[in-house]
Amino acid sequence: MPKQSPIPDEVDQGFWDACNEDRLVIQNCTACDRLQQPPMATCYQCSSGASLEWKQMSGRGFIYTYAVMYDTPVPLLFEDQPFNAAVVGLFDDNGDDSGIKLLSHLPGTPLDDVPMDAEVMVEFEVTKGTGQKVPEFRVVG
Amino acid sequence: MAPEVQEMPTSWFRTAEGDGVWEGKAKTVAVGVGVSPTDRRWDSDPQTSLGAYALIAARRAIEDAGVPPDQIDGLVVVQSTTTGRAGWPQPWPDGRDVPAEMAAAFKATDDDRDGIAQLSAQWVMNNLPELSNLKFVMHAPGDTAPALVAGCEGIVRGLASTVLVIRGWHNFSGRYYVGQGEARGDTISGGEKWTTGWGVVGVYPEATRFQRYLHKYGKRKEMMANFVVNSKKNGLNFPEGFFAQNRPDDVVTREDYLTSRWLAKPANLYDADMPIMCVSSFLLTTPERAKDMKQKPVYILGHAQSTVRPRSLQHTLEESEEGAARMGRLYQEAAGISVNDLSFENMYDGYGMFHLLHLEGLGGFAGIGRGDGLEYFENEDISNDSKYPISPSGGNIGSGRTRFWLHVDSIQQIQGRAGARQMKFPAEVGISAATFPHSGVSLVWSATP
Repeated sequence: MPKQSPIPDEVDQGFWDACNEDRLVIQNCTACDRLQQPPMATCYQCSSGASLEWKQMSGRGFIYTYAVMYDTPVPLLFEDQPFNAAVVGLFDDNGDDSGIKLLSHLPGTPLDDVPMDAEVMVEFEVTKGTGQKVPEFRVVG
Repeated sequence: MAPEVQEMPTSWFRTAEGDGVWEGKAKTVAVGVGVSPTDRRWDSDPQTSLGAYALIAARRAIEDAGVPPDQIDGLVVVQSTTTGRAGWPQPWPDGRDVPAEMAAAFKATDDDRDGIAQLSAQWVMNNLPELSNLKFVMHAPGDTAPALVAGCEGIVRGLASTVLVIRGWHNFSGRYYVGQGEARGDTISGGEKWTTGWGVVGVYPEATRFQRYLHKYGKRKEMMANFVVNSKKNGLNFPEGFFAQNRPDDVVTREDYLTSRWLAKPANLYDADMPIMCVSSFLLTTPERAKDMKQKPVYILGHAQSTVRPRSLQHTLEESEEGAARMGRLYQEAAGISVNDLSFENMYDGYGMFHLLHLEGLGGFAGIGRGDGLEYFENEDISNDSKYPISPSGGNIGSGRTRFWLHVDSIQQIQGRAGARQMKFPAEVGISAATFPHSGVSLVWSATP
């Protein structure tokens, strides 16, 4: 599906650069060993900016929930309505829920036939505006 | 000389568990209520502007209480009046002229959007000259509930003895969000890139929490129908509300609800409120001063604020449930009551799902626990004739987006002047709260100290 191209800023540049390399990274505070998303200038927990890094994720996750959008505000998506819009939870290194969430249109999943809790894997989609890649998730298994 | 306008200190909110009963318990009462006419949108007439409606509401509250205006020594106003999301759309569109007639009709401030797209305390003071003895003037953040907290805390802290609270909403032509701000164009910047970038906005977070709720507890979306029908019915019995005034024949049936168009499935049009223009005002004072006023005093037993920060992109269902449960503990502690003391609940319903989670967090109102609400809506009497009325005000869904019908109704129910909405069983103690289950402020109202 078409998407707007995200314009990176100085806080989230690392995330989007990694997407362009087909890698999913999430901001991590090494002092707290805590992921955070969306990215921030400092760690939410310890307020340190110096201990933030980009942590490579496996790209695996699960469908936490979803809705079918019939009333999108984005003109670029008008023609594609209705469409699935899911909240995906990312797994951590141990395969547990990391608490981090991203949105997805679930490419390959039929409209409103979304398997809750199903495992998904990240893939990357090129957006037309600038060519910036964005993460998307496809049901696996 | 008019007093300086203060900003409400965040320390005035009661946020921590273990603080015990509120020291201001039953030291303040609500006596008068005033509500302006309602409109779907502003028609650019100064006499139907936000400012004009604020003056109407304020004077109605003063008249309702029967207090001479020069005895009012406190004023609390909510400055933001948008029915959309703060900052999007902008308070006033770039390049759009403010109608010149406004300047002729009212005493302006140095911001010409005042009285149209925002409401400052200074604008109110400029145009309500009868408030001649103010010594405490404050802007409250966000909404009616914080403003009522500011009003009663101002009294408890000895800053004033009789406070007028004003909260208004403007609504202009055009649709919010759609094709506006970051949604337009081929690129997207700022925080919206993580959400709007996938084409979602507005009802989406609530729709997804509702989806998770249905999955988690094995419920069906149809089980919300009776709640919406009941709220719509209560709204038509609310003479101050939008639908009673403007669409009195707009009865919504279960069938209407089940066939309504989707916004973000499983949320449909009737799960959402409708933006309107309207202003409310409340007259708060001490029990001693209330003896000389017209209406029965309604005691404020306590207030509480519950806030849970989302771990990631948006609040999860579990975070919302945590916030609602925390509110359930906080209000009981602050007011020194148990959930069994509540005669009614007027929790927020800007989306119907909010009400469900708020209700389940109250601590067992009508025996309702987590995951029980839809079953209760489906199988029990939730009307105002029942032992446990559910949202007797009808809330935002029943009367339009204001977030204050719940407070107005709580006061009127206890005063016994809710008219066709009046509860069958005695309204002794009630709770109202807004906005979200994960971030809200509640007040506990009572017929007695």
